Parts: sequence; structure tokens; C-alpha cells
Amino acid sequence: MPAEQPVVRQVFDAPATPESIELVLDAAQQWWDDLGGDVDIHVRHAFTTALAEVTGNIVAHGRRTAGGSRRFDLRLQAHRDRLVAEFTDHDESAEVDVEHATMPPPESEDGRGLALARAVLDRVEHRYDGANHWLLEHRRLPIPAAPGGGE
Amino acid sequence: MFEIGVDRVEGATVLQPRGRLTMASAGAFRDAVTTALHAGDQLVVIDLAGLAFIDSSGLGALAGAQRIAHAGDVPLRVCGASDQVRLAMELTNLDDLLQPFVTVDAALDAR
Repeated sequence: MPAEQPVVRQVFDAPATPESIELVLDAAQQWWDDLGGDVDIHVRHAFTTALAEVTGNIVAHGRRTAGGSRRFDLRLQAHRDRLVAEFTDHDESAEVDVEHATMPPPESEDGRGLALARAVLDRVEHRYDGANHWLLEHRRLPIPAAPGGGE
Repeated sequence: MFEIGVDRVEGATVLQPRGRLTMASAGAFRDAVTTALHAGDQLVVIDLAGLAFIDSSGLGALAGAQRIAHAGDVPLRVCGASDQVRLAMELTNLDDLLQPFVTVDAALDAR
């Protein structure tokens, strides 16, 4: 049996600007279309939400460091059992503590992005080795069967 | 493409954001809500039915809108959230803060 080939969609060398969130969301939509609707809608919502939040974090960090000159790459992979996204940028360390990101009170007007990404994903990690790497992962759940199927 | 429709119904302003409410569009949304809240209407309703997507910046803008409404003693109601918007609001407990309605009519009728 041939090895599984993931369905891949990539966003290359996008600028770390708020407008790139639209680019990422468009890429995600194209990716869902590539998969032919074979991803549970709730998983799609969750994963898309996390993509936007991590992109937003990259953009916000770029504003604080290199005067908005940062750029990033994104690779989306749909395996048989999981969805994976990898962001990479080659700027200073984002110095984020994903593991301890907590949800602020509902009346807060900021600070909920990483906590929201953690809440919707099975796995979200950040590491720095001269480049910032983000790994996002979610189980690819089976599509629920339609009710009352068959004669 | 993000845009905001504005309608006036029975002395209330109904804002209709359409598209994706993200970091890129949150500023424009915030400005439109602030204008509506200072216009002197009895009620402002934000109809989210046209929103395909919201991120944490958009959620923050909604929280900010509630703060401004409360400070100005103007009732602010949200309604019509789609699945992704409802998911984001529930995970961040904004549904507790905003108490969203299902429809515009329900939001208008509640006063």
C-alpha cells in the first residue's frame, strides 16, 4: 500500500501585516476546498480560528520589533488522522509562553489570542532556534453520519 | 472584504458587519460602533449574521463596544452569530458578557 500523501497548501513569504490574516484565511478556505469537504465543520472552525490567532501573534510581534518588516511562511498539511500547520519566521524570538497562556476576563479588550488558540487545538507549540516555529495540530475527526440514513 | 451596513429600526441603530472581523478590520468596526453609540439612539444592535469569521481582535472590539455602551448607558445587543463566531464567543466567555440573541427581531423586542 502506498504511503499516505498529505494534502498540502502553502503560503510563502507573506508580510507580517494585519492584511496577511486575510491571506491565511483564504489559504485555509482553499485547503478545505482541496479536501472536498472531508473535514468536520467544527474542526474546520477550530483550526481556522487558531490559524488567525497565531498569524495575529506574528503580526503583533513584528510591530514590536523590526518595525513591521517581518515576513513568515505557512505550511498546511492534512494527514489521514490529523491536521497540521507550521508557521516559520526568521526574526527575533517571539518569546511566547504558549503553555501558560490563560483566558482573560470576558470584558478584556485584548490578550485572549494565544489562549483561544490553545482552547481550540489539540496541540500548539512555539520554539525558537534562530527562527520562530509554530506548530498547530488537531485530530481529523470523522464526519458524523447523516441521521436516518438508508431505507 | 469587510464592510458595515447601518440600518435604523424603530429608534434603534442596527449595525450589520459583513465579512471577516479580524485585526485588519477591528479598528473600522470599533469606530462604527462608537459612532452609533454616541448618536443618541435608544438601542444599538449588532447583527452578526453577515460575519463569516471573527478573531480575538474582533472579540476585543465587541468587549470594547460593551464598555462604551455601559459608560453611556445605551443598551447594546448582539445577535445572529454564526457557528464560528458563536464558538469563539463561548470559548472566551463573551457570550456571558454580551448575552447574544438569535435574531434582530428578538434583540429589538427585548427592550
